[in-house]
Formats: sequence, C-alpha cells, structure tokens
Amino acid sequence: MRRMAQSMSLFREYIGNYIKTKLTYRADFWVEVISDLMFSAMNLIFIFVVFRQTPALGDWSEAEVVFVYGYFMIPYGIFSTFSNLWNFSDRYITKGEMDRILTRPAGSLTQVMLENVDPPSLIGSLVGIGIMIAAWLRLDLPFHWYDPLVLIVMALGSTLVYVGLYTALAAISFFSDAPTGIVPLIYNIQNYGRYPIQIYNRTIRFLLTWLLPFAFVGVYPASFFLVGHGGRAMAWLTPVVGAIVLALGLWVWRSGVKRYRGAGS
Amino acid sequence: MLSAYLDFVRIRFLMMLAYRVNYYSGIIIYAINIGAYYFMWKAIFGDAETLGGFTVMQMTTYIAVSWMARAFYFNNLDREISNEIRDGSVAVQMTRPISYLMVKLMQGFGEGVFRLLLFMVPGMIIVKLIFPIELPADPMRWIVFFVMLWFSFLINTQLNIMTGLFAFFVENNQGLMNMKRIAIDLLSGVILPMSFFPGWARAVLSWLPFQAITYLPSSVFTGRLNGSDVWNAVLVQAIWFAVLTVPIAWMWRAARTRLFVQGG
Amino acid sequence: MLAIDVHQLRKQFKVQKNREGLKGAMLDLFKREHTEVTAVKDISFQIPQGEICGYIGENGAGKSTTIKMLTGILVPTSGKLLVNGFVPHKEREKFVHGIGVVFGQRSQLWWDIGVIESFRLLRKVYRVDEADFRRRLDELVETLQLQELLNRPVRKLSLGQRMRCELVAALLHQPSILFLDEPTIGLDIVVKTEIREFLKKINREHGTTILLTTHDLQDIEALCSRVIMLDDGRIIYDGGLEELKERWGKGREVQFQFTDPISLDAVSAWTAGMDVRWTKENDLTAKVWIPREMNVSDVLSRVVGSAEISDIKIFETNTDEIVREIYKTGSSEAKEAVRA
Repeated sequence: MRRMAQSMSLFREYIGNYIKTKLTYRADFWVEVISDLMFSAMNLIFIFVVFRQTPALGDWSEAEVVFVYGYFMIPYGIFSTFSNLWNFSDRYITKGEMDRILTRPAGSLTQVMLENVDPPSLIGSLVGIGIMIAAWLRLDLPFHWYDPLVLIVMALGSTLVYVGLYTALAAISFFSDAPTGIVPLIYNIQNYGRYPIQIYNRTIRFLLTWLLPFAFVGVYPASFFLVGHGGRAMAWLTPVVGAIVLALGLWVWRSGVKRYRGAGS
Repeated sequence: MLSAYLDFVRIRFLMMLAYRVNYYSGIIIYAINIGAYYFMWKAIFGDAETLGGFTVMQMTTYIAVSWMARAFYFNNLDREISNEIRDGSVAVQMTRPISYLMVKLMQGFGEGVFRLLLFMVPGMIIVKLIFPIELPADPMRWIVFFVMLWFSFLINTQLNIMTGLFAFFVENNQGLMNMKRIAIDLLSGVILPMSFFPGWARAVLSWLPFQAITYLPSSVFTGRLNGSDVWNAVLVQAIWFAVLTVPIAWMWRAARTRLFVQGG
Repeated sequence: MLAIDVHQLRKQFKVQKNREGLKGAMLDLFKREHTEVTAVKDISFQIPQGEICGYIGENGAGKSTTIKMLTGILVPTSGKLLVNGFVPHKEREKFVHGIGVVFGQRSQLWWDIGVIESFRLLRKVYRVDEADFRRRLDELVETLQLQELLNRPVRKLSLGQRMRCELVAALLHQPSILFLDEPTIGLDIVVKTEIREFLKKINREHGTTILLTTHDLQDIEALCSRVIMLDDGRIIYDGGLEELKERWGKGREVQFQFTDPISLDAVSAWTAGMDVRWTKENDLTAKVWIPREMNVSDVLSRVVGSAEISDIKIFETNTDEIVREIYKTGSSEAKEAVRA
C-alpha cells in the first residue's frame, strides 16, 4: 500500500517533469499527436476501402468493424501513455542506464515506465471513444446504465494485456543480444486482434486468443456491446486474461533483472 | 574502392546473423502476418470470384510476395541516419574518403541480402507449402521481378535517406519518420493493392513514388501486368529512382554547407 | 565500524564467442559457444567508515564490476559482501537509501529541464522530507556555488557544471557511502580541484566514506589515504599512498643548473663509483637519478664540490610513474612481492 502511494506521488512528479520538458519542445508534441492521428486514419482508410469491395467481413458489417476499431484505440492509448517501452533495449541496456535505475530505491519497472510517460498518446484514446460513439449511434445499439462501467473494466483489462506482453518483450533484451527487431513485428500482429476473430482459421484464432492474446485488446471485449456476435463469456475473460498476462510479464521482467544482475543461470 | 563498399555489405550481413533471436522470431512472425492477411482477404472476398481485378489465388500470391519483398527492401536507415546526425558521428564519417550515403546504402543492402537469403527464401518455401499460391512459370518474369525488387530497395532507401537527412534541418524528425512509415505501408500496396482504392485516389497515387515500391513489382510477379505494361512498370521505377536522386543530392549539399560553414 | 567488508568476492560472466567469417556466423546461428570470464577473482578488503579510498587499475581490470557489486547492481558469483551492514543485492531498495552513486560518463539528471526539477524528483524517490531536503540542498548549493545554475536545463550546462550537479544529486539523501566512478573524467584542472576540495569537505564534515575509481592519479594524491590497485581481477596492492611510493618509488632525480657549460663525461666523472645515472638536458643543465638506497646528500656534496651551481631541484618519482611501472613489470615477480 505504501509502495502504491509512493508510486503515485512519483508519478505526479514525473508527469510534471514531462510537461516541463514538452513545453520546451512544443512542436514535437503536435507532430507526435498528428502522426498518431494519421496512423489511426490509415487504419480507418483500410477498413473503408475494404468495405467498398464487400458488404460484410464474415458476418460483421462495416460499422461493427469500425466500432471494434474505436474500442481498440482506447486501451492502446492508455497503454502507450504509461508503458512506452519501445526504446528500452537501446536506452537502458545498450547505453547502460539500467545501472542507474538499480541504484535507486524504487521498483525498476516502475522507474522505467515513469521515465517514459507519454501523455499525448491519450489523445488516441479520446479519438477512439469518439469513433466508438459514432459507430454506436449508427448501429443503433441499445445503451444500458452499466455500459460505461463495463467499458472501463474492459479497457483496463485490455491495457493489462498490452502492458504484460510488451513488458515481457522489453525484458527479452535482458536475455538476448537482439537489440530491436521483435517488437515492431509483434506490433503488426496486435492489429489482427481488431478484426472479427471468426474470419481466421483455427491456428491463428488459437494464437490470438491464448498465445499472443491480442483478441482481448479488440474484438472480444468490444463484442460485449454489439448485438449478435455471441461470446459475452469471452468478453468477460478480458480482465482475467489481462491479470494473467500482466503477472507473466512481471515474472519475465523479474527474471530478466535477475539475469542482468548476474544472479541467474 | 568498390571492395570497401562491398565490405560494408558483408559486415552488415554478418551483424544481422549475430542476432539469432531476431532471426528465428522474424521468420515465425512473417509467417503469422502472411497467414492473418490471407484469412482476412479470404473473408473479404467471401463468395466473390474477383475483387479489384484480383482472383483469390492472385491475391494470396500478391500478399505473400509483397511481404517477402518488404523483407528485402525494408530497413531503418532513416533512424540510423538521424541518430548519427544527432550524436554528431556523421561529421566524423564525412572525413573518411568514401561517400557517407553510399555507405548507408550498402549497409541497407547487406541487411536486404540477409533477409532475402535467410528470410525470403525459406519463408517463401513455407508459404508455398501452407497456402495456395501460384508462382510464375516463366523464368523471364522471375528475372524482371528481381530487377524490380532491386529498384524497390533503391527507391525505399532513397525515401529513408531523405527522411533521415531531415534531422540536419529540424530539431526532431521523429514524427516525420513515423509519417513516412505509415505512408509507405498504406500507399505502397503492402496492406492494400492500389486497385482497391477509389478512382480518384488511384489517380493521385499513380503520381507518387510509393506504388513503385510494392505494387508494381508484386503486380508483375502475380501476372497482373503483362507485355508492354511490364516494361512500363520497370520504366516508372527507373524514373522515380532518377528523380529522387535530385532532392537527395540537394539536401546533402545543403547539409554539408550547414555542417562545415555553421559548425553544425 | 566497517563501511565496506568484502571477503573472497568473485564474479564470473559468460561471454559469447563469435566465430569468424561467414561460416562461423552461420554456425553461430544454430549453436552458440560461450566462454567463462572471471572479472573479479576472489578479492578481499575492508574499508572503515570515514575513509577515502582510491580504487585503481587499467581498463578491464575489474574495477567497474566490483563497484557494480558493491552498489547492488550485480550479484556476485561467490564470496561475502557487506556494505553499510547490508548485503547489497539482497535488500536492494532498502540498501540504496544509504549510498550515493555517480557514474562520471552517465548523467542521472533530466536532460531538458532545470536541474532543480531533477533534485525535487530525487527527493521524492528517496523519500527525503522537505525540511531536510531544503537544508541539505542549500548547503550543497552553497559549497559548490550552483545558485545560478539551478534553473538551467542540464543540456545547457558545461561538463564541469554538470558534474557538480551530479554530485549534489548523489548526496541529497545524505548517504553514508559515496561511490564515484571516474568523477573527474574530461574535466579541466580548475574544476577537478574544486571537486576534490568538495569531496574532502564532505568527508570531513559528514564522515562520508568515499570509494572512487579513477585514471587520474592526481585525484588519488589529493584525496586518498588509501589505494587499492587491481590487475586482472586481483588486488595487487592495498595500502597507504606513502607506502606505495616508499616501496615502489625506485629513486629520486636531482636537476642541476650550472653557471658554466658542462659535458656528460665530466659530470659522470664527479660521481665515479656511485650507482647513479646522468642525463644532459642542455649545455647548462643536467639531471642525475639516484636510487632510493643511496643518500641524496652524498651525491650533492660531490657535485657541489666540483662545479658552480645556480639552481637545484629534487624530484620525487611521482605516482603516475610508479603505477605505470607496476603495471608494466607487474605480471610476475613484482605482484608476488607486493602480495607477500
């Protein structure tokens, strides 16, 4: 509990420093926001272009696929804000900043995450909410009082899936000599989690559900709100899978740090 | 002189070999990518015979060969160059009696050759075993394809070099690099063949260099372009290659002046 | 009480072997070969509280590895290790409250914003209370004269200014042990002197134990009462600086300035029968090297009796030379002699 409180107060301080930094590089801030938005636009264009050719993907309509995409952006934005580990290998392992982290009285992962907070990514989450609402209206979906609460639980579950997976991936740099490479490739795979899972064959469905559970950052939780795409059970698994993946990610991180310090094999 | 450049190719090749985790995971992940796209396109086709002028078989082949081509032409030279500009090591490299940009090109080529031989070839064999794809029977088509692949590499590398060199002129070109990556993935035809875009978009895209990177070579390979269209496609690539050397030369000159006259 | 107690400390690393050439690289893709490297070989030493100790050795001798074990970054392969009463790698987070670390080559400050912001952040990280923090900061800022720098972003500081800020950052939480890895590297002489004075002051007033690695032996001469010398993972010398000079300084040099031109033969003739060596600097100046066993005055009296002299200077062999000598001859008999 005390740890939690300290992490929170550290978080405030780091965000403060982030804002001060960004005020000196204002242009960067906007460039980052714009390129994030462009990226979302590209994904939407893909969806629109595809649906020019076909009325349905599996039995999913265009608005439904857009709805899933809107949902997909929410946890991704939260995750990118707090767990911006893309440069971990280069900055902390190759350039040796991990040593400094280890001489400080706070959790190593907490420090690394806080040092890289990236609030502009949250704008993506907001855009995602907007897209979701637009698709919601177009689909004429019913609205229940509990929907916002469920959305929060789902989004947090999905965020944990991301955090767990990418923490584990970042921790690979403790074990291997590979500086980069895997992460951008995995990044491609995560995108398949936002299309109807039914269109894939068994192998890929299994992979996206249980091995690299990216279906839990998009299609499963989003289908909770959609009518007639079954699987509320899968939707409710989202927070569970999130917790498990996070636990695994932390475990890999811990063994990675252990290995880094030479205590491992 | 030439042997010095070839050495850069060799060293980069060896460097890539050294990272074996990257290698193994890379093969698996490329296979997953191709697989996922295959099923997605199958769903998009649904019951349709042809879409955007593609048959299912052509589409599958197109996806497979586009990803494989991407493995060859893809590199991170933009990031490398802007990092070297930012940490100042580019100035040191300029004092060497070889062309910096040539060295970068060669390093990118070493990476490409590595992926071509150790990625594309085994990858293509795996894909051929799993998915229904159709490889061209005409040896001439293979030869033309490899020539076009070489141009893909050159044009993509030129775009990377230009994006990287921007670090000379602006404080932070991170956003620009991201945008370039998005533009290439969306507009070159890896995730969507040009023929799926609406007419007006196709008209705009045919005047941009991106389609020369993936769409043209993959169209030739899948047999969607035939006869004189093939030679036209090669010509378009060659023209883009020539055109792009101009802004690079200009940027490089401006960068040198900036570096030597104003001291960075 | 001991600040640092090290007993039979050892650290081994597995290092990947890269086979040569294309064929080698291909083989490496499928099967890797490793070699075991022992960076630190069963070293033992004790440092009492309040001591300033220099830790020297050539690159790759094992200095950084030792420091990383002492600061809890690395876990030793074997041996006992107690710093501040803690086993560093076991209770890392508790342990690091009591130590300060400066890696000369790497910054612990936030690059783009005012130095003071980094300090505030560190206050939170180390949970220092506001009043203590204020007092401590004021004291440090005053001694190091950082008043005007506090609001400047780190990237706008000179290396010397930055290093002074790094020291403050490492000392804000009042650690009782300070580890410095190359604290004066790349600094000019004025800043170096300032930093040395500061470290002495901190040590005097707060009793802070300091362990520093350095390549600059001037640091050692100015600061350290004790030196630990490392070579190839083993301690080859541990003791006072004076003793080091005593034992290893092979002699002294005396430089004479004559009023009339001299020749090398002539000056050599004056000290015939003595085991000394003359070198001529120019027509009027010559130097004589005198081994440690011999009395300088014996030589002086002979020379003074033989020619008119305008000036005399006596040079003690400096630490630099001694250390270089130890490294050079070091490998076999010299090290044995020291250890014996």
